[in-house]
Amino acid sequence: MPTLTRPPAATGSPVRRTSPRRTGRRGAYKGLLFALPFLVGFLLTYVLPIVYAFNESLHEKKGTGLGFGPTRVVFTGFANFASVLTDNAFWASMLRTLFFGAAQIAVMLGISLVLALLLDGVAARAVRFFRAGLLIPYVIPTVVSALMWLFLYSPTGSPIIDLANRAGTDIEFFGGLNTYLSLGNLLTWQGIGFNMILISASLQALPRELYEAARLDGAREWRIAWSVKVPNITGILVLTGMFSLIGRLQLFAEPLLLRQIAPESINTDFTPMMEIYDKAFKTGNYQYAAAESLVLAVVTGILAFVFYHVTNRKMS
Amino acid sequence: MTTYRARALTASAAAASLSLLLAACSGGAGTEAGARPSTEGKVTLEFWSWTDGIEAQTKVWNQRHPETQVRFVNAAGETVYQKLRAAVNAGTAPCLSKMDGMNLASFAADGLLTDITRTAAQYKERYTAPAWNAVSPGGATFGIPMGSSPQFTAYRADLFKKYGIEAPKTWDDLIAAGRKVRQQDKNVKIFNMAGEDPSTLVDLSWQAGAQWYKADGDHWTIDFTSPEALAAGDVVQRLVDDDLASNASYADPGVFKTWDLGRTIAMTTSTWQLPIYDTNFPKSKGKWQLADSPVFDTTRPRTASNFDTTAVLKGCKYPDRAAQFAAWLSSDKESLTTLTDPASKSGLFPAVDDVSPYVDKIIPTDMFNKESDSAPVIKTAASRVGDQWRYGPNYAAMYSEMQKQWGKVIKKELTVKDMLTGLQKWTVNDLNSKDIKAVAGS
Repeated sequence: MPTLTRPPAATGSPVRRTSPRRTGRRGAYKGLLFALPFLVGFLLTYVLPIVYAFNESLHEKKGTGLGFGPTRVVFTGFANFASVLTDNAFWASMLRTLFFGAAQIAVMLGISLVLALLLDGVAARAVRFFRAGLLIPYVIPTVVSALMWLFLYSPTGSPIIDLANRAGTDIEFFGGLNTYLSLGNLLTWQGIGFNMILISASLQALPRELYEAARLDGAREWRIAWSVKVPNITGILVLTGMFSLIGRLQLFAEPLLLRQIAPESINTDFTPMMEIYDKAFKTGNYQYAAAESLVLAVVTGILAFVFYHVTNRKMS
Repeated sequence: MTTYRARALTASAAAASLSLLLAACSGGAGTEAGARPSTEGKVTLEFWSWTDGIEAQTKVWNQRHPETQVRFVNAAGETVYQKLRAAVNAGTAPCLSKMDGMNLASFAADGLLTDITRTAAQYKERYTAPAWNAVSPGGATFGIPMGSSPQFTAYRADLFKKYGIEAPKTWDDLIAAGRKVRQQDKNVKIFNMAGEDPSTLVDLSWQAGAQWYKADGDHWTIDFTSPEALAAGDVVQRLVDDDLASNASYADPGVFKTWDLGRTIAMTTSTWQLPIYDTNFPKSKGKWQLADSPVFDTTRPRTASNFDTTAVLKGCKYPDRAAQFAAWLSSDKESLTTLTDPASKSGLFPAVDDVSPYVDKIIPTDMFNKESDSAPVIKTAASRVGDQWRYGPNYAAMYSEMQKQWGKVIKKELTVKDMLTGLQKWTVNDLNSKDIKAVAGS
């Protein structure tokens, strides 16, 4: 993360380098011991399931006779991956999620940034109040907030639609672009507070002398915000952007719940995760779902890598 | 158990009829036929269900049958089928579980159930033919029927009168009535088709006499485009094209307002819904009337029904006792009398031939007007469930595929005929890719 060049520490060389090599090895051993709980957990909950999923993805389930007899699982190499790579519905859901994510993340981070900058400019007491208030949507469990919006959007029970009808107009929350606006609104509402906190914390870490210098040069508050604050927090913006992007590619619970009231607009393959869920738990094709999951993980990894490097290079 | 192909060879050699062969071979090794020893001594079975009132019935059974004790587990929850699958794979599955017909077929296709054809045969006569079909996908039996939900129509009699229409006898009548209503108020619909739920098309196809899956010897004949299937599709198409149906999702918490507020004035309904009319339709109490489901062919009236079953899972050590208990639960007169009593809250409607003793008390009379022939309608529905319908081994996957396209049909982006043609091809390919022989029917 690119930060300001801080004034170098006054004097003296770092102490830790002076320790002899022998104790260093013992230290590494001890360190490993401390890291063991993490490593065991990582192995059991990350590495093993991935290996298992990979193994599953190399197999297919075959039936016998009329299909109600015993089944057998046979090794089919990369056949599942070949099908996934040519599965239009899967890639369509991927692109849909990416384009939607790009637009929604930009809006969400934009609002978070503006709010963080505003908070940075007001008195400390007000900051605490607003920060806590804006964080509430983030604290509410995803499913609960999705359900809350579901009731607000529901074509049969929405109070908003009811009010609009009374006023003589009609609102539709789903269909075409409206689907994305409604979903985007929900995700933005959920995400603003959290991202704002991160940005705000990073703003607070900036040395106040900078502002003083800018003020002496005659800059006003908005000028300070734009030319001093924003350029110095691009690191956190990239980070929040990347987290959000990964989050969008894994988008699942919100559209799945909204599907309850808008099944025509949000199909079972609306996002890659929904498609994987459908394949694994509705259709029972675990092997194909495993292949889809691995492809999604690789795509997410590549995108996160590219995003991080491109934006980082731009900044430096 | 020998493979089906081997059995088919034997069949042609013996020139025996297919049905006889299926009956003879599906129960296990041929030499043991009929001589299978039944379990001796005291056993304990585990049974998962999430129907109200079943636990109490289990206690009654346990008191009277000390040799077969049933341990009831209330497995209510969204993920129960996933839990069951995991339990079978881990070897900790219960002996018996509640299961709907569609899941029974997909569990059977995934090899997660026990073939109980032989030991269950003695109970077959107690149930209706379509109910027995539901526990015997592809010919072999994997469970015992529990209940049925034959379909009929409920309509807002007050609004039918207002718009000057009668209860439709055929689907053509229903469409004509829908048009008449639309002329008077374009916001009022005769019917509802939810965008997530292609079961409307399944029901219509069942009623029309279609057979999407048909077991023909050693292979399946897949027929989504037979004249009957297309006739069913055509009804959906006309409802969509003429905007005669509302599209309230059944998952929408407010779905029943659609009818309660009179925006949609008729619906396909069934026995399991009757106990909740009171909660769902508070404003339209007493304004409803029941009628037979519209038919395609008045000379061969059919309706559709979902079936609730008790499946015997893989690893069950005492399938004979399991079947005995399941059959008692769903066919013993006393048991059925208790379970169909509204006080039990089971919502169960029997899958036995004679349902007349159980009909009257399940009708919420204050929901209907005085002209409603509720009891005869329910009895008629129970007696005319089409017995040709079968669930195929990849029914769940096909249904999920159909669900994706159904939304497009409702949005007028795809015709029903194109969807059916595509599904036929998809289903045949999917079965063949799983080494299950299937051919397109038409």
